[in-house]
Amino acid sequence: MLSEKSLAAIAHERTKYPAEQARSALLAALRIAQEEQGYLSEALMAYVADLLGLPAIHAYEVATFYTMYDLRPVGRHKLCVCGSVSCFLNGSDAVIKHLSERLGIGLGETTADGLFTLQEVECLGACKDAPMMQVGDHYHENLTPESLDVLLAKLRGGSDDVR
Amino acid sequence: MFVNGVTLQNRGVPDSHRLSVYAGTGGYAALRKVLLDPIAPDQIISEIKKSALRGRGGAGFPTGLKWSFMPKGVTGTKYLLCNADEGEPGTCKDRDIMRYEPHRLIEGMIIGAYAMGASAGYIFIRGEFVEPIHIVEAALEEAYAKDYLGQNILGTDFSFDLHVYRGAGAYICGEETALMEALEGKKGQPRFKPPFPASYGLYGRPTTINNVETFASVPDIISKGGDWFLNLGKPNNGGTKIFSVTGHVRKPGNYEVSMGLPFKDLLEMAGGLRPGRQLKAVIPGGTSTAMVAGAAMMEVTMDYDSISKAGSALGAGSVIIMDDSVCIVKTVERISRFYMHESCGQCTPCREGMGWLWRVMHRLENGQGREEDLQLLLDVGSRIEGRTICALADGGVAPVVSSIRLFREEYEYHIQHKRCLISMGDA
Amino acid sequence: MPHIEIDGQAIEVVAGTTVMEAAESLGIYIPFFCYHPKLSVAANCRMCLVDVEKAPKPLPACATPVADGMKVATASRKAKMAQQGVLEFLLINHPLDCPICDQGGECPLQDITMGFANPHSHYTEEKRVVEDKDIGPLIATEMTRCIQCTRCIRFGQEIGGIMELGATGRGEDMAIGTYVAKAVQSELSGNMIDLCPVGALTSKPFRYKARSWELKHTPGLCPHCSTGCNTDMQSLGREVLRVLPRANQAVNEDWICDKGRYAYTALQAEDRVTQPLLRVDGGWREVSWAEALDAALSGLERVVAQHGAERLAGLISAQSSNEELFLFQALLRGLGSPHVDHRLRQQDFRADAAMPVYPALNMALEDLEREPVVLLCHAFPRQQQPLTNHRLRKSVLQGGTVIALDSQRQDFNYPVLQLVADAGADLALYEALCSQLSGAVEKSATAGLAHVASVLLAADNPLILIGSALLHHPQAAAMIAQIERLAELAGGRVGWLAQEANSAGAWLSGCVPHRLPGGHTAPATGLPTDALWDAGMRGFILLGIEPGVDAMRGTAALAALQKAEFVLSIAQFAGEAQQYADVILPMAAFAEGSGSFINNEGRLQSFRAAVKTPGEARPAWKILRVLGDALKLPRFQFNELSEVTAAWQQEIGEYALDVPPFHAFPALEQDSVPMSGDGLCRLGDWSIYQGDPLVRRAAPLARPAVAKMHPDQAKGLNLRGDTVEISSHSGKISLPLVLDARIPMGAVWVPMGYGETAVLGAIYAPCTVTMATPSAATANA
Ligand SMILES: Cc1cc2nc3c(=O)[nH]c(=O)nc-3n(C[C@H](O)[C@H](O)[C@H](O)COP(=O)(O)O)c2cc1C
Ligand code: SF4
Ligand code: FES
Repeated sequence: MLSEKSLAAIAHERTKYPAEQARSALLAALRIAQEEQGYLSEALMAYVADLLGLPAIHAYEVATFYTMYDLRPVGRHKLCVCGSVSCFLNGSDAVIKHLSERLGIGLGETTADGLFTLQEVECLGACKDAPMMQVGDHYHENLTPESLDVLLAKLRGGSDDVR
Repeated sequence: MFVNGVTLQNRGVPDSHRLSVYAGTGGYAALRKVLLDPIAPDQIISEIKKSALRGRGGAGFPTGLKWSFMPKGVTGTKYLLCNADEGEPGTCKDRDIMRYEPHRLIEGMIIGAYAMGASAGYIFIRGEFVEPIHIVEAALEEAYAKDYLGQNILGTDFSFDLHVYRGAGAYICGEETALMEALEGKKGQPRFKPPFPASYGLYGRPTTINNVETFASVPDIISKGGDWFLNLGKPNNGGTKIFSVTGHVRKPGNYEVSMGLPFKDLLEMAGGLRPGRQLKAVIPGGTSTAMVAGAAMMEVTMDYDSISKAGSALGAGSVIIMDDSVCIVKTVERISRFYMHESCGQCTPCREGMGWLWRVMHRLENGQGREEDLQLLLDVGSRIEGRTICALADGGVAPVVSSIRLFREEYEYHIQHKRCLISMGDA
Repeated sequence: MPHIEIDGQAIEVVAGTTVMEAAESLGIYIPFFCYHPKLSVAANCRMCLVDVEKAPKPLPACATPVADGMKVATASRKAKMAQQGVLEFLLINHPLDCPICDQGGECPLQDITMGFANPHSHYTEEKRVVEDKDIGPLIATEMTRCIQCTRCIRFGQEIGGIMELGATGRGEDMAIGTYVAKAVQSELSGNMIDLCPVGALTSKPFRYKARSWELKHTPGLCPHCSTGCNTDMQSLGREVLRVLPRANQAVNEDWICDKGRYAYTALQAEDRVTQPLLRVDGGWREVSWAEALDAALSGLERVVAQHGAERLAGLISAQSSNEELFLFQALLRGLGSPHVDHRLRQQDFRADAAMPVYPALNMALEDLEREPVVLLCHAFPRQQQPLTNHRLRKSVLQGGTVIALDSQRQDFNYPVLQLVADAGADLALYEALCSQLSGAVEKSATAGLAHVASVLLAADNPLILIGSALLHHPQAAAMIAQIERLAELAGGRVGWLAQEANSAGAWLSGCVPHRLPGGHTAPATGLPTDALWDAGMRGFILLGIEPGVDAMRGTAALAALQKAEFVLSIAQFAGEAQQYADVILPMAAFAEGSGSFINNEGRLQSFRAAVKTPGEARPAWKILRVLGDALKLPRFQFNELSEVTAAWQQEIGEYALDVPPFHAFPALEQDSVPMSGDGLCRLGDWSIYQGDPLVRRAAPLARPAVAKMHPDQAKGLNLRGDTVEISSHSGKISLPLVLDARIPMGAVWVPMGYGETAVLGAIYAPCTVTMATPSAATANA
């Protein structure tokens, strides 16, 4: 169900823990699986659990506990706007409103073209550069309507790696 | 005044995250001294005790004392963990240490591992911090290559393996035992204590855990002495501390200053308030600490003792500034939502109480408040406080209860007029 | 040892005791939900908060260890405030639907609310609604009522040994469920219902049948395996509505398995007989007892008169009570027949003389959990004796080692060192282990064998347990002989895992063809069951059995019964008996009769009827007494059950709890059993829910028969598709095929105990497997 590359990455994760603690690699294995397949389907969670010799329910518990796992398909770019207090004080609601108008979707929704999913998340630990959001691996900070528009244009332009 | 002198001293130096740059400014000298001179483990611990270094993760527990709890003479692995989960709203300092000074953290951990006899360690970094994760991983590789990590470090008997562990999105994993559960591949649900991690930690083994900033303070304490560090701050509040000043200031940022700096000086360093604005309230240590009225805060100095005298806590040093444009009810509603979202769900008062608090706050904010709601919030709060496994629930109660005490009229205005006293508009 | 004080009462307890345990021993009640003495401490419900002097916050009694000088107040203002507060939180999202909740009347949440709650709640927000999942036919869920105590999850992980339930989501979204919608499989699953402190998990078959306070409780014994679990049979009027465990720490602790819990649902099966039945002109007529007894007596007398008593045989279920077994053999032997047996599943009887007085574990069940090294010989207690298995599981969790020798890999719920015989070559496995132990071979063919041998040799007096499946093997006697040798070589001791609830009683009461009650040698040795089918018997008396599925060669059994001139079946169910019987006498089933059983430990336990027998059915001991009396046999003049018990006791005398596991072995003739031959070796045993007439009729437990085969074997045979046709020399069937790597190559596994699989005859016989032709598949479906 997973590529050789992902399987090798999971095998590498296991080496970080004592041999009898394969379970420690579960969070990483789920992340690697999700990176490859976009989201964690039921079959994929069960597969990952099996790789590590764990009951499927175990992977399911973990996948539903942590917010970074997606159990449903999401857009190619997940726009995670921080709405916690420091960002809130610096206008995170306006950021969400702006994105929502530009993309024509509400929170938790995905654009029809499958490009964007808009989410409000809790504190991402970049409070001094509020308001901010995370897209993929990157933090985008001190957001303004202008910087948002520039970013959206770049993402629409097909770039995945936008810093 | 000693500014940005310890844990963030190389910030601003190009490539400060590289081992070569770090070493060029005296990096790893402390470790070499410890291992090659050598310095006895007990002596390291007493030096840390002397420095009055207190845990920078929020609870402020004396680090030297914590290190001395690690059992001696046990067979099998002892673990050393670094808490880099940084998730409390307002807190953003560990991320900068990892981005600019990863080797300072690593060196601090290696010294700690040597002092406590730990042979393996993990740096638990919140999963969203992808950039810091890559930087720390690269730094670990460099340290391994230079023989600072791994088997027989620098040719001595001492061995220590250190890895990064990536979180997956849950504030509760910052709680030390939840972090251990997550590291074991489980849901991050805090464990009941006792037993404490020093006897039963990761995989049931003796374990010590410290915050990023705590570890990053260690190399300089060892190379310059515990007294030196202590004297940077004040008695019982040794050293410098990073304050993350956020919210309504003109230059939000991380300011590493001596303990005991007057708050008003810190505010000034952060650029002061926006023109024409008055200081309304401050949350001095992250959202889990009580709100302090602006005027009272202007009298406080930035150290554990002074802030606690003002009825709050220094916490992780996350100073959230609110000026008079802020609606307290709306802000607390937002904070409250965080705790509902982040409760792990195991303790009844927290699982049920965080949602209850938020729902009432939400009603109030949306003009559906009732006469009895303020008493209700205080009552519910008092039924949560002190009755749960971990401190998350207490943290969720603090902003609600403290803000009602300080800004009761504003709450009452919401109830009577079914709307805000202050319209935050779209901010 | 720490001295502490709780509510002013002083007590000294061992270090490590929790405040909850100390309070319990003082008889002080502290309310709780998540705590359970048999589960790990979660301390998550926070209901047990108490006031500890000098502690700034109230502490959970369940998780707080005592410290010397500690002073605890369980009902101070501080403690009460804490308890009330927690209870209010628990109730805000709990639907207050007690009137329609099955838990009503036996609900800790309800009780504690009455005792501890603040009378009015302040909560006015909307209540949470949690989606339900179907987790199978045994457990009904109403997850909105769940209070997240996680007892069910901990039970699955810690006791059940398979993690099926989990808590997903976090915070207030945390919900208990299975992985996706999947039926819970654990054989101990029903215990989670008892553990659930609210009405979130309830018994599906019991749902809406009655309120708990209307039920009558009768102490009972589970008749479905040799553990002898104590039960609480709960009934309303004439109907058993529920069976729950009755705590007995020496036997079943606080648990029973699903067999014991749900088999009662078959009591009203469609073919339950409640009126004597007489075959008249090929049809069946309900008749009076007088008429039926007349027919029975004349039938028996005719067989004896015309063909001699040695053409009459009696077979009885080992789920029968001591009293019934005793009377049954007295009836047969009184009529002059030596053919009495209860061992329907055995094929090889050459070791009969070597068998112990009764199959005894030779130790207390409780001690099993402290055994450091246990060798299981063709025993899979997880299915056969689930709560005996639980003791072994505990021993492994505490560092013990369990080794299993078997014909296939088994699905244990704890780590077991397993050695699997090549298909059908089970005897060779035992021989190989003996050679290894004796040092006769330098190097073993397999590392596993050498490892097992070294573990056994290193162990001090390892325990060797012989499983019931071993007796089903066609070379059982030779295998038993090897085990005797093995015990000697390994310096170990031997015990037997008896199969049925009263296997021990059946042996002790003389229901074997070569022994009288008390284990005395019978003056005339009769034929064992399997030999009867080919011995031209003219008459049979059957009690509580259905040889068509209960016997090793079901088809042969049916043929013999049909050929006999007269068959008397004393039965609970008519279904099979109507194929061959002449008279069917309706007998009491589970929960309807009284008597005693001897469990695997040799523990004599008795049970009483919970409900009246339905219709005209009568307890079997009364039927036997009337028959014996009418046949003018000596010593059948009993009025009360207690008189039968006394007579039984007198006859068997004092029996020992520790019995020598073997008598001297007779020289065994060369094995003549054709173990190879063309085709595959057919493996199989009685499935967990097919073992006796009651349990196989329990609808909630029903699982369809499937064939299993190693995936490589299936590939080798080019078997595609779901259904295969399996044929043996005695018949053929089509079954769905499940690929299972636990089955050895060269074998196909087909379960026993199903009507449709009986045509294949005995296990270990050669079979061929082919793709099912479409017509065959549909014919079977
Ligand atoms: C809900 C909760 C969240 C916490 N989050 C963090 C965190 O993100 N980082 C951290 O260092 N400590 C956090 N802590 C504190 C840790 O439990 C622990 O006290 C700390 O890591 C110890 O390190 P120190 O002694 O160096 O401060 C948290 C505590 C609680 C109760
Ligand atoms: S207080 Fe809340 S977050 Fe902490 S353990 Fe209990 S339920 Fe979890
Ligand atoms: S019984 Fe102690 S916390 Fe639940």
